Amino acid sequence: MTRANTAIILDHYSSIITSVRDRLYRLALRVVNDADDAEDVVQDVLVKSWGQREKIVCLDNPPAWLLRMTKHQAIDRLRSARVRSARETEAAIPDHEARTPYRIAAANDTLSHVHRLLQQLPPDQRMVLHLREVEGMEYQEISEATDLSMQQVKTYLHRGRHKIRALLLKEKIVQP
Amino acid sequence: MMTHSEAEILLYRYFEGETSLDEELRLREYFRAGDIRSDLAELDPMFAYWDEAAQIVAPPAKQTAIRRRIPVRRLSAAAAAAVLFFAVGSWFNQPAGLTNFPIAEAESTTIDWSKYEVTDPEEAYKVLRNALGTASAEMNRSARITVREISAARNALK
Repeated sequence: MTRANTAIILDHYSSIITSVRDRLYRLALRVVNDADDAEDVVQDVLVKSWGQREKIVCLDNPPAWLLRMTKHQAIDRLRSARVRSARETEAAIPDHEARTPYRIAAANDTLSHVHRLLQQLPPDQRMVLHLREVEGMEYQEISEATDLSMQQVKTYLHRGRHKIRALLLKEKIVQP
Repeated sequence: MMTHSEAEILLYRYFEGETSLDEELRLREYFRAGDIRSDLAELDPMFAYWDEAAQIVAPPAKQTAIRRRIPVRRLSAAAAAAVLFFAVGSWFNQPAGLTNFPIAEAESTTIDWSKYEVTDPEEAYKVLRNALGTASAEMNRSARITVREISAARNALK
């Protein structure tokens, strides 16, 4: 491979990463629900993708490929975090500050409430909702990015929207 | 500007998963505008949340150095070249006249072996008898091992 080709690949790869990085972070955040973990997930994805940059620049839909990688990486991280959290909870002393006024106020914030409701959904449903509502992606794109069939994407979206509405009604959350 | 009844119809289709991205964008704008019919207001937090979530951006990238991987073949070739270089270098740099046993050779010049020489015939006979005894024992041991192995093989073949 000539030096010129390498430079072209590098430029193309860099522009792909620049355009998709925020989306990868938001998706990772949606799954792992922790800013530091989400950042680590994106970093891992970028490091791995660097090794495959020549392949990535030749793909029809590089963002979908990177989103899929982020999804898998985030789910792996979530699983290991759950294991870790379970172990830590067993060893941890009780949290006496769990109900401080500050925490109650923060929990009452409307958007935090919606966020909490959303976190009650299974990861796949959450991801599909996120990619549609936040990233504005078509069903086909979501299917490619999540490894789910079109039918699954539609089903998860339908269920997710209904569940969020039901939870909003149940908890009577109103935007101030 | 979307009317309340249009919004209601679109919302129905939205929950049935029948809306396009453009229609969903129009719904979003309806809620963003703030003039929401009271019976639709319950959905406002949801749309506000999606708007908020879309504003999140990734923090600046960590400065992680991505090390360029050197192919194994190149590494092996470099290692072989280095070994060859040092081998050739040390061969040519060794002092003249030095053999493979430099310490022994250096000592040989100072040791007077004559004082260890056996001059007494009886002493010489003892040394010889001991040496032959050791050799004989070792030879018998070898024969015993051979006999034992052959018997084991025979037993196994039975």
